[in-house]
Amino acid sequence: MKKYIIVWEPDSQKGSPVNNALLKILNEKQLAEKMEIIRSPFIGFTSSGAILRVMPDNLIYTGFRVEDLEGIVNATLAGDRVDKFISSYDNKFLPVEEKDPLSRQFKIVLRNVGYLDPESIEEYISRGGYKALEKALFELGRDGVIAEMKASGLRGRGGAGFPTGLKWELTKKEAGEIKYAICNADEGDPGAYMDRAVLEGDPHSVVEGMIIGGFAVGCTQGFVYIRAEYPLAIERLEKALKDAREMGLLGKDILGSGFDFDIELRWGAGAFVCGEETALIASIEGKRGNPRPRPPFPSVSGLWEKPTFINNVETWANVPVIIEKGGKWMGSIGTEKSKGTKVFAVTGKVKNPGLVEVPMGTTIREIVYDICGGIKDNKNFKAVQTGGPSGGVIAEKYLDMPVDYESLQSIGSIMGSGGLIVMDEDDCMVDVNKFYLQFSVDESCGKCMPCRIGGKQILEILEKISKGNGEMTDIDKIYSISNAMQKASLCALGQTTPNPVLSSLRYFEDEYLAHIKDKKCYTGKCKDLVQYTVIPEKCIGCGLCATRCPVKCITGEKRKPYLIDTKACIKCGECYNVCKFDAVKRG
Amino acid sequence: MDKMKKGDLSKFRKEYKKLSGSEIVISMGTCGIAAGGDRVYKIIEKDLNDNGIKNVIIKKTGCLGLCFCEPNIIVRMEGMPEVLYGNVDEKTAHMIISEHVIKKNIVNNYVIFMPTNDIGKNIFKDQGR
Repeated sequence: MKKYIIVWEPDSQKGSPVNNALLKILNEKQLAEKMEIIRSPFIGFTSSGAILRVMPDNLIYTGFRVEDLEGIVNATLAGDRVDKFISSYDNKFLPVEEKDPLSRQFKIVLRNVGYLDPESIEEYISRGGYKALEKALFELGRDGVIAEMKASGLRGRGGAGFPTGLKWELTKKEAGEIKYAICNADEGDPGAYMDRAVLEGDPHSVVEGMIIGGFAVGCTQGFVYIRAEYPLAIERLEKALKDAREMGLLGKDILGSGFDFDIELRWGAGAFVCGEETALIASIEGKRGNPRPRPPFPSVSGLWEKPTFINNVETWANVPVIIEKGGKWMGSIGTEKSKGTKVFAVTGKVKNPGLVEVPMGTTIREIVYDICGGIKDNKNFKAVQTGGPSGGVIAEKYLDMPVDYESLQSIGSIMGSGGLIVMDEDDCMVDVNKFYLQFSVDESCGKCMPCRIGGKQILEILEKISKGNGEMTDIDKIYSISNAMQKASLCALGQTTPNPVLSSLRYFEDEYLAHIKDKKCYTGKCKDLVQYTVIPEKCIGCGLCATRCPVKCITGEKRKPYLIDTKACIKCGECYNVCKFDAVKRG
Repeated sequence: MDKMKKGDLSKFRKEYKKLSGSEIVISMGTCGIAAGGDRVYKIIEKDLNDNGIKNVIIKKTGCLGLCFCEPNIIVRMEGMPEVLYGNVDEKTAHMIISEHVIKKNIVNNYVIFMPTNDIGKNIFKDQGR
């Protein structure tokens, strides 16, 4: 069989030396019949040097020099390998044999997403689908399922991290004939789309998880609360439910076991607060989506005052694998207190944004640099934000910290549902937090005062700071309002609204102080606090900035320093970006 | 289809056969469709028809999570390694049919790789195919 060497080279390597060297070797040895060299824009992970992937042998070479290529070509032709440059990866948080030694990722939730046709139940079954359901119904029994779930150590993937097995057990213990299972598919964090990908790519994994959960807890009805903004997910989920019903995997007498369970969809109209469990329950009941105080918790009195358990899409998708492979298997993956994997939706200023599923304990550096290719345009890393508008920033000094529920909490962020937004040196913390606060203020339901008024007040203070009118007392005000919100808000939305501001004050206080004391925004994002001027000594008078300026406020003669009319300037920063001689000053 | 009973699932898995060895799988989540996946689907469907190629199945799947290079398509031709193409626009889609499917040459510059192996296969080992 013909051999293929696939070449990836980082942007920093100009002129693709590795690819050219390989082509040269091929030409000299006249190997075109036996071997082909193919360039690739992405090879599964990234590195500071070139990466080769040999197909169909499926070997990866890294850390070689151009001189070593001939040896690699010879070995490949002989069906051999050069062990010195073979790349492999070992994660101590992933001690299972199913792992891929070439990859930092491990897919449990996304195991089928992108591999099978989501509209075909046949393909799902052929890939081992509904095997776990059969095992649960006929082998494990109710208590067995809950024991496996508890042994797995799985914690709620919606963000709060409550142990799933315990939640199921509590609901099971409640008296009463009627109980409900709910799937929370109201994914609303800015920049998060893990649940959508699962529902669109593998709806049956969620359906199967819910049937198993319903069986263990002893309920006959489940609901999926899904955003109406996900029409394709709704369409595919409905098809999945219909197919499962036709095959006898859902509805009356599932697989002849005598157990009845059915699932209905409920559409959410797009309110962020409806992701909070009590508000979600109210919304399913047809009421206004307002949260209510807990206790009583939904496991005691939930939907229509019946015991109810709610899990997130990602949690449900984990269930079939736990039942199939056993709780112990799952419990071996991850850190001491956080087990299994987590899906992150990596967005923002990274080269290769996308969905990433890694074992708990993987570091942010591995996610951002090794998997997602590092910061775009080779700029400097500033922070990542996890948990969206309820989370916080992770500063550069924590890049090598293993990520799990506890470690993130200890540095003032949260796991959240899995949105991971990467920021670079061009992002201003005050500006970013204005965005998050605006989001939370818009989404506050208005029922309780700390959230309704507090959020608005913090937002106004941030706006004041970004306009250059900030005072030192404003920082104290932010702290005291935040404190009130955290203590007195009814639900998690209000309690967590101040989190992004507080965590950025913790790690980037100097940036706030620069806005307040020096009235400067060094990133140029706060337009009122930035000025662009030409440094006459550096300007060679090429006129590029003047031609690019959208409001034509830069004037001058060729080969003499130009001048920016700061009154007419709209502070777009175009001149700063295009100047090749660093002659435009921002500050 | 008749309702399944205990044991029917494993029987189904054993009997379930793939229709053909060669297939083209297009990533069509909301993201893939927005990036042009549905246009690529139509082009590939038409090109296969126009060239009278009957033994290559065309399928759709969910989002692979490779947002930066959508639309992605996987081409599995018998006797060739499985290839994943990224950034497939209309021109590349035509090229994939004329070069890869018909002439059995991998199209340069668009080959990308899945960040990891198909782990789902390893988790559920005794599947039918």
